[in-house]
Amino acid sequence: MLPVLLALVAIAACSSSPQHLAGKLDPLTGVTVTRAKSPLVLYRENSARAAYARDFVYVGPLTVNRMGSYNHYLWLGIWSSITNQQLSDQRDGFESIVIFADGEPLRLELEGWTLSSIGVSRPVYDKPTATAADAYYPVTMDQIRVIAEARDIRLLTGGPRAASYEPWDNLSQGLASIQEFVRTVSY
Amino acid sequence: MAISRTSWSGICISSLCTLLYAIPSASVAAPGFIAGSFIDGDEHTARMSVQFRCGVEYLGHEPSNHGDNLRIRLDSTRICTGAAPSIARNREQHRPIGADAARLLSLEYDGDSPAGKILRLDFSEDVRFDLVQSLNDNTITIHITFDADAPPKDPAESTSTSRQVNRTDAAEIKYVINLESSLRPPATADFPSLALEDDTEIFVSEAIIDGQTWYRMRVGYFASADEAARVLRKIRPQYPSAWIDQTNDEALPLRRPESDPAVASASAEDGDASVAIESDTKIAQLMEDARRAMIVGEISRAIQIYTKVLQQPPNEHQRDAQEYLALARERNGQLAHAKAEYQRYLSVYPDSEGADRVRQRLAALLATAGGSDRQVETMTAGGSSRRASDWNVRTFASQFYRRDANQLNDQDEVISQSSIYTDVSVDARRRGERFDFSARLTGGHRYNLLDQPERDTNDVRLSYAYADIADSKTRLRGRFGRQTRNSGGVLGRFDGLNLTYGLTERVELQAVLGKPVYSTANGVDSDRTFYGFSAGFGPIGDNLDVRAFVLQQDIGGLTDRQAVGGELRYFGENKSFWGMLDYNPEFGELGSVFIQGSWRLPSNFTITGLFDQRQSPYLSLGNAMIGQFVEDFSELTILYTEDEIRQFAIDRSATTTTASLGLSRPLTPKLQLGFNASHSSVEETPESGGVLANPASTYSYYSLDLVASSLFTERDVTIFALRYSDSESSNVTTLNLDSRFQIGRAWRISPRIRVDYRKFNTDGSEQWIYTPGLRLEYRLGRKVRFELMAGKQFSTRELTSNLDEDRESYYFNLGYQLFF
Repeated sequence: MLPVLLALVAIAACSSSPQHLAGKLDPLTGVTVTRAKSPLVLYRENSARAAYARDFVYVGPLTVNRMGSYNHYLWLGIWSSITNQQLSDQRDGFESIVIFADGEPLRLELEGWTLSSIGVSRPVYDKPTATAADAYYPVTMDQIRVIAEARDIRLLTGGPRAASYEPWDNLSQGLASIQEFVRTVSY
Repeated sequence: MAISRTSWSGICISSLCTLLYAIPSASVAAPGFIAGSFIDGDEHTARMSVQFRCGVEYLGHEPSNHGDNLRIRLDSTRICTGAAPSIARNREQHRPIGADAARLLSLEYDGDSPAGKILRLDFSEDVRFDLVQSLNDNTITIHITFDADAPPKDPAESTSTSRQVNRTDAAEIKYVINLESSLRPPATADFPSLALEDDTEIFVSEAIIDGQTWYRMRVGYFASADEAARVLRKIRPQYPSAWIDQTNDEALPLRRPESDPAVASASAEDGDASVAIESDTKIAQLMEDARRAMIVGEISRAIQIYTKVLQQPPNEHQRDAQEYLALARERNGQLAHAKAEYQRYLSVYPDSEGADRVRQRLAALLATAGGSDRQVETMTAGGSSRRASDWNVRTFASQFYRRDANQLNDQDEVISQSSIYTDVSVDARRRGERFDFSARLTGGHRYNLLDQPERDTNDVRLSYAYADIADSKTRLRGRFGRQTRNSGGVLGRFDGLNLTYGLTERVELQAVLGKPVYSTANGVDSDRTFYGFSAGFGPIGDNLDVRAFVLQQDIGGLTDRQAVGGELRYFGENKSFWGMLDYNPEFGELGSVFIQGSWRLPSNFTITGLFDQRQSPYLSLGNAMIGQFVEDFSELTILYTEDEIRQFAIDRSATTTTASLGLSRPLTPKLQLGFNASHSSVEETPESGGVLANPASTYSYYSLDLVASSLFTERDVTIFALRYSDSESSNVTTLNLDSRFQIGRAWRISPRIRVDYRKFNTDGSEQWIYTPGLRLEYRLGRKVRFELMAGKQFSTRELTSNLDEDRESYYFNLGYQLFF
């Protein structure tokens, strides 16, 4: 085990830094879309459905540049390790969510569930599973920055069965990616 | 293993170390029509400045001087910075950092309303605004008073006095601008070149925080916050994280810098750097000017010149300019920018003779900045500084009434649930320049309204109760209490301690010690204790994260579970992959394997796959208690030998496997199609120890989903889903229709209906199930939400004996959520 760990330390230490993100032109709508490379991974245990069933939410920022007019969004990829759940149940509560960034509540309202809601024609982030639901929330750069600077992120859905999603791990990869996104988009 | 009370006390005491300084909050929202906002204030007043990307003309506002909202009518001059004039037609909503200090709920700009261009401020209470007081170029400043009757603050009560003597009376409140803070005394050359007014100067103050001396480079003094803010606006481009403070250094002596001609002659010449450059000779001259500026400490001027050189067409000086720009940024304290410039150098000139030197500089920067690399980012990137704030407490509360009832044929209705669920979550945090402290308490209570005296059905749930402290200097973070974790071999909720240490920016070590919590309604599992270690590496390359772990869990003096494994996560441009493996050496069995991946093809088809195999429940010695009539594990050890217990544990842990494959594609931006096929199986478990066998089972399902938006209204969405499932007991075909509409800003309504056709394999009977439902949400401001969720289910099963079985049931949830 030790040699493997040492090798990983060496690889991690010597690896190149993430390069700046580049905007991608959407060929149908003519907008330029910039996104973070890695989303944050949040989860909750859903033992009511199955032992060790876990519901996941990927969280990633994106910016749509429409001829100099910028709109910022947060994308949520909502999915479960048990893929046979009802799609209604999956989306319930995600119309209004609260993201707690180090306890600071960011109340977000859904913009839409499809690409048309953000004015693009191609998926910005890939669906983790075919049954995953995409959700888009309008945000400001301030809000994205608050998320990028946080050490602890969690998400609370609305509804009578409000679900709290916690970080899967220390979020380092996702937060570094969002920090990179903020720097890129802010320049 | 156990943690002594002394250890816990030490952790708790150390976790109370926090800082004392409050800061105003600045935010930069870019790039929209609102370029940024700035809020500062005290308990009685606040001042908010909103900066626009284009010049604006103030037309009027209403109401005149008080209310819970303020509408300011504007017009754009169409002279914009870095944006097209059309940006003035944007619609934007912001909630600036520090909004609470101004009692501000939201800041909205509508550039396309019938009433013209409107900036609207919504407050959480009635406030008094003095009028839109100043309008300079593209900035509007609004003075807000929370309590008009409150007496003016007595200067004698102020804690902001200072020993600085060449200013006004010590009892008078004075203001300074904090340019930057550092752990080392700034050298004379570090002092910036700022064009200051005669009665202000740059100085350094010292603050001892948690035993650590911080050196604060400041500009002052100013008689009012307005005056300080006016200067701050001028220097913010150079110091994006600068902030205004009332002087609070009475107990600490101020140290003035030695006289420095370079500082004194601060420079109006900065603008020279923008002179048009055409020839190589001029570029060489600029490089020389920049070098001299660096030598005499005119760092900001050097930055401007090097930036200009880099903006020129490719030339032989740009490599050096790139390196020196990074160096200048570093000396200027703009560490995040410096890091980015060094990285840019290595990206563009990876094989140059200076590459090794730059790598070393970058490594040194990361090492000294910190574990505080995050802090550096926080303090400099984008101009938003959130350090050194006061306590911030947030509370979320909700209360819902839930009722479930069902009825078979003509029998009496049976109410299976009638309860009030109350949930509360409190978050407290305080961010310091070195220590961040946070705590969380999340719990709930169910009050059962049914008359069921035979059992106590009211319960209290404690989901989270922890304190967390992070030290940005040592990169050490500890969390103690009830918490959750699912990586590193830990299986969810536990009571204990989790320690994290950032060895480098990319290598992180974790240690965990605790007792598992299997139900939030139960106390601690006193039989089991675990401890483990894990190491995370990444990102490796660009997008790969790897984690390895070991974990040992004991029960009653025996090994309950061992876990050795790893996790690998990759997010690429069009591909993602996530794999986890958990091996149990104690039993010589694979505990779990989880693989999930997606791949987007050029045709916009996304192929997804998922494989999940695990023992359920996770294989552990304690599983032997399943089905046994014992209170705890020690009783089991009296009844059976260790070998028998081990075999029972294996027998009770069935292997479950799920594999699924999916395909999705956006047909149009408003229409998305998805297909998924999934197969699950649970292996049989044998009879042993008096516990009956469980037969094997399988379950397959296939689904086709269509998600369509804007079918009926502009922002609606409708989901059509068709599913077919196949199991030993029955085959079910399901049609689901679910629509969601938004009505105005406050209402959301979601009607849905589901129809199931079930064919029972046991007796060949058929069943139709109809389930209409409705969700309704109403938002009252930003802090209150009301929710209703109700539905009814009708089912008819045609039994072979010509006897129908009719069932009816309904559910009803009504409640509210509060944030404060």
